[in-house]
Amino acid sequence: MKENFFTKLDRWGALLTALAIAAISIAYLTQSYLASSKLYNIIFLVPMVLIAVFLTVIIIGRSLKMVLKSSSADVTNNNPTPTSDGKNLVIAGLMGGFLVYAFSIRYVGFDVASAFYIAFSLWIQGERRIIVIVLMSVITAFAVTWLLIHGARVPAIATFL
Amino acid sequence: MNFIDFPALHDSFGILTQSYIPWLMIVPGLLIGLAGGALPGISGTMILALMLPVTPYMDFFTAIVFLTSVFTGAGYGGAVPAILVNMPGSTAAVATTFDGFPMARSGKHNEALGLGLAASTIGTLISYLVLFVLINFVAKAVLKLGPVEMAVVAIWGISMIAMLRGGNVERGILAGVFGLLIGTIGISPIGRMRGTFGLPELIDGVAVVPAMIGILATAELFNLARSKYIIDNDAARIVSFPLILKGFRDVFGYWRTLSRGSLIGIFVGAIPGVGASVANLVSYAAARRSDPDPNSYGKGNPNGLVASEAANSSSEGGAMGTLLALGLPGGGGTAVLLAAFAMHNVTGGPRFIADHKDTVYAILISNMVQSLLLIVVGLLFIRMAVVIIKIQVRHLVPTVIVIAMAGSYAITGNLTGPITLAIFSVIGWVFARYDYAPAAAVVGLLLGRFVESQFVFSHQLSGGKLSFILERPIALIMIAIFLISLVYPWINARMRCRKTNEE
Repeated sequence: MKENFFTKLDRWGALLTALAIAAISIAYLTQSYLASSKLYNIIFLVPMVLIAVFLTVIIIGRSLKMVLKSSSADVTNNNPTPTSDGKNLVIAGLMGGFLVYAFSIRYVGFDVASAFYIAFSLWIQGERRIIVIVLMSVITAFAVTWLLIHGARVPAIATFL
Repeated sequence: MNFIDFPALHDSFGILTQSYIPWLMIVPGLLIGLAGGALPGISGTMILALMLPVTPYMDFFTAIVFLTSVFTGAGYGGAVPAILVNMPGSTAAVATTFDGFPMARSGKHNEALGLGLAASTIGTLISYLVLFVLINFVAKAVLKLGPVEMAVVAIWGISMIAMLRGGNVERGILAGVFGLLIGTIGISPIGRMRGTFGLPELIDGVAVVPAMIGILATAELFNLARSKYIIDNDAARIVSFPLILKGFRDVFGYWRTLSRGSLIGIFVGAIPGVGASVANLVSYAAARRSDPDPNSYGKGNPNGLVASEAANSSSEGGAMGTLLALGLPGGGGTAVLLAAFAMHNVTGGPRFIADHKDTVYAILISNMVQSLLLIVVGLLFIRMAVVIIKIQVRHLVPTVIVIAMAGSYAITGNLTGPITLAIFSVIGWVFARYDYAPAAAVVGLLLGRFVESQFVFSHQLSGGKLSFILERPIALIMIAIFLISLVYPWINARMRCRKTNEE
């Protein structure tokens, strides 16, 4: 099986995740210590960060062992179940679109952002009927927005939000 | 020792028969709870909180009956999306997804829904029956738990989650630790800002509910992409009432798991701050560990579903016990109930039990009636709820994501919710992809502040002396159980390995 970007990323994914967690934990502890070095500010954080670093070292050791041992052909034996490139692209698109959706609410409003995200999701997942894309995105976005605005004022409606 | 005060019990029938209004509140309450719990991204606590403004117009007993009906309905409602779309309505239904969703994927969604409903109603009923008999005893027992014991129970719960799904234990525990750390972001116990990195949105900490929805729910939705239906098999998408009933009846075949799960739920639910979110996972872990075929868990073993649903529902009774006996909420749901008490100028706790035993018994009897009515209301509700599995995935995914986004927006009231949801969706997907136990991260996130406060209290009480633990036998027993449960799977695996080699 020829390695592409996604399979390469998958091989190193577990290791990179552990490194990211360790880095975030250490950054958090450092920032907390700088905020105050008093005992009750860090009494819980220090042991937790030490455990996180210890586990990261173990995970890196094991992951490296597996990555170095495995050839690109048997990557699938040691790493997550491979998914097709098409599915990976759809997942990446949905996640990327979701981040853009969340950050764009501030600029275009919840209703417009929601409508665009629904339309984009439908399209990226293979829906090609324009009428379905337009109707579904507009109706769903505005129905949810209406409930968000008016539902909160009426407890009985808010329940179903 | 007289467990039941019969004169007070007699008086309670007077309260129960005084008016028909409280009885009229049960079915609407159950339906609201079921609908709220079943809607992805909407938690039982949120529904209860939204219903709170309605209750000042009711008398105290009616208000409590209505709110506990919502609570009971939401308890099972959360299982519906957990089974059908692997999306727990709340953390109480996390373990329900482990085997409920695989059952649905293999076309047994009807049986899974029936089984979950039966486990849920029986679990609730058992918990209130036990509470009815043991309420005085429970109050005394919970009083003996100090901060050390609380911290041990919470950490034990997170460790169990990390281990129970098999696979990479170290990655699971790291995810739990990560969750605990993230859960403490914001104002520290000494009033300093920690981990906010200059972002004012993080002063109150990470928005837990949107983060939870992101890690557990939307990540799974992404993985559904390019599937045509949630259940691939055309024939399996058929909603069958007889099969739901069959699943309901089948629960009696799992009576051992059911009764163990119910008892675990009562015990864990009675511990303030822990509640259903840990109860379902501890019960699931206990069921898996005692099963001769633990590897079948996570692949659609009905025992896993029964263990989770029985425990999360029975924890409601345990939490109610603590609320009534001590005036302490076991979780978000009982915290709302406590607020309802306050709105009617009623204070829960030993004084309330002593002065209003008749009301306490009336509440418990009405709760038992609710759990029985949940069977009928729940069966009818499932008929409507399973429509979700007839929707094409490409239409379902964006719709549910937008509803979850609206829910996150509604919870925080600003953009913190949507942004938290989006970021934690990506984290959840990465965790799930590389076997980092997303559920452990979520429970860590929920319990982070609680565990930290117990650490601080323990240090204050002990003066920093470790020998303090030796003076606390309950803590020692709990630590021993914790260590045994950590080591036991490893010893068990070694013994099995040796046995296989010998054969």
